[in-house]
Amino acid sequence: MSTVDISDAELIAGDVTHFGVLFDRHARRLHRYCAGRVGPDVAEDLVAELFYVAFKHRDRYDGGQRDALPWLYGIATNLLRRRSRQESTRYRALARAGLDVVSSDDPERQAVDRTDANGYMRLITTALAKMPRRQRDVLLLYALADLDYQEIATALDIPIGTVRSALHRARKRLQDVLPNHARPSASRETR
Amino acid sequence: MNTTQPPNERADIDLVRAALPAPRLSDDDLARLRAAALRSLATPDRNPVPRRVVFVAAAVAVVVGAGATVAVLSGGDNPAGTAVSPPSSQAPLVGADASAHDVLVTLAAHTEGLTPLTVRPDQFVYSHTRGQNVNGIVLDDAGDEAQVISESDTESWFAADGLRMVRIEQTMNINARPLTEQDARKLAEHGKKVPAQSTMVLPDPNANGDPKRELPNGPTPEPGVDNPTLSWVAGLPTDPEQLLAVFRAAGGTSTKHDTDYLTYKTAVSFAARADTLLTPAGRTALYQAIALLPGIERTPGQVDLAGRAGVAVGRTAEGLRYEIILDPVTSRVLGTRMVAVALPGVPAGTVLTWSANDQTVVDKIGATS
Repeated sequence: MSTVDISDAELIAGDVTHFGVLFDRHARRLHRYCAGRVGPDVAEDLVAELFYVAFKHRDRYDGGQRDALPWLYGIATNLLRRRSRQESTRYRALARAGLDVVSSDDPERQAVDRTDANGYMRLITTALAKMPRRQRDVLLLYALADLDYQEIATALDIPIGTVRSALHRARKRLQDVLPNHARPSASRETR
Repeated sequence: MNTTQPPNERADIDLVRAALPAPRLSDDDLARLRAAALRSLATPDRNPVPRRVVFVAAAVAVVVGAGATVAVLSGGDNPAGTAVSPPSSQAPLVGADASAHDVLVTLAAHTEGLTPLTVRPDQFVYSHTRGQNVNGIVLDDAGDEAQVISESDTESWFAADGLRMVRIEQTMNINARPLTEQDARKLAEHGKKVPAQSTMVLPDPNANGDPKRELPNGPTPEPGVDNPTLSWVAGLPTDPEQLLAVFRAAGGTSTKHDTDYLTYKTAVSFAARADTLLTPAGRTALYQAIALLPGIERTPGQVDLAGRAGVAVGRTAEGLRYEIILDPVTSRVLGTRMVAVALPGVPAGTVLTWSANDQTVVDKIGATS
């Protein structure tokens, strides 16, 4: 049997070698999620740590879930809570970078930058820094990890209704700070 | 996956993604991260990761070898049922399914723990080579042969320059036996026996002036791919393409094999000889250079080489696959093998020859540690 045919649940029930396959499947995506929140260097620590935690607590995995990504994202999100200071630092740094662009001395440059998506970085990251933790976790699992509502509910071990309301509130916060043309045409949620 | 909203309803989500950039992990970084993560799993009582992950390759115990090179003898097949012993309690850097290219690139990224040997001018390099090979025994005037497989054990001492042998103790024809049942029948029909085990020590203390019982008194060989020394190896390019050019030049051309195979075989032979001479950067370049060659294949899983578990990367020509065996934990070269792929009368997968070489520095001739 090729490892392609082995489900995540079977890999998690296996040994270190099987976890190596699990790592190969998911590590890059998990790193992208963590790196978005705390930067690439800290993200490497987090990814290694999350596989350590996952291996240590593999008996807690619901074998009925073939795809382990939501579970792994949940572990990553829990670990990120211990890195909240680094996460805030990153948002502030990104906000400053955005501010630098907009506050150029060149008036023409300022005009261009204000219409450029890069100019919204300050607004987005400032909003993220101020956002309640639950809303931010849900928003970033949706935006960076690309999970759907049910997967987010599984990752955070919360009801799907809580996911919906948290995401709605998080997006409302973003819409409140973004100019009209950068907002979604509707905030209707389709799931 | 949350893809059910139309694009224009995801403008804020797209902005969040754009606002939180994350560079894609390079393959090398991913391999390093994988090694760190799996190592922590191998010692689950210890969480190694609240700090920055810095991979340090496991130090090689005693056999971080010298520069000397011994003519490798060897042969035989992998004894059926021999258990593949784990190389250590540490997790391998490469998975069981990793491709030949991935094996080489991953191990190339983990060479920092393998520093070259340091030899004082008054010291010697002790080299211990074990192996096996196949020899043909001529049965009649028509030239018919029976193939005999046997093992060998060679201990050699070299001067500090790594080129001049000063003593050799070699036992040949250990456990000699016919390669196949057909070879056994041929030997019986012609009343021939397999060669008896023999030991040679040079210089022989009882030589009494017999030049055949002294070490050959020829000129000291020039350093090169076939006779690597510390200083010669240190001068090799650390750019994989440039290093490959060195092996291409040394491999030459042949009407029997293509240039890539000759280059591959030259590089692999050099890797086995020079394992203990390589700087981390030199080893990285060497593995990356081999990875550039077309046609290399991974033998699935792990293979046993003289009781050590390794990963095999090989290239096939003329019915034989010539393999380099690498330690998946430390990244060092364990040795080489020649495996039958499509040879008349020989089952595919039969290991015809193998050799494993350890080297270390000693203070006097005859010492082994």
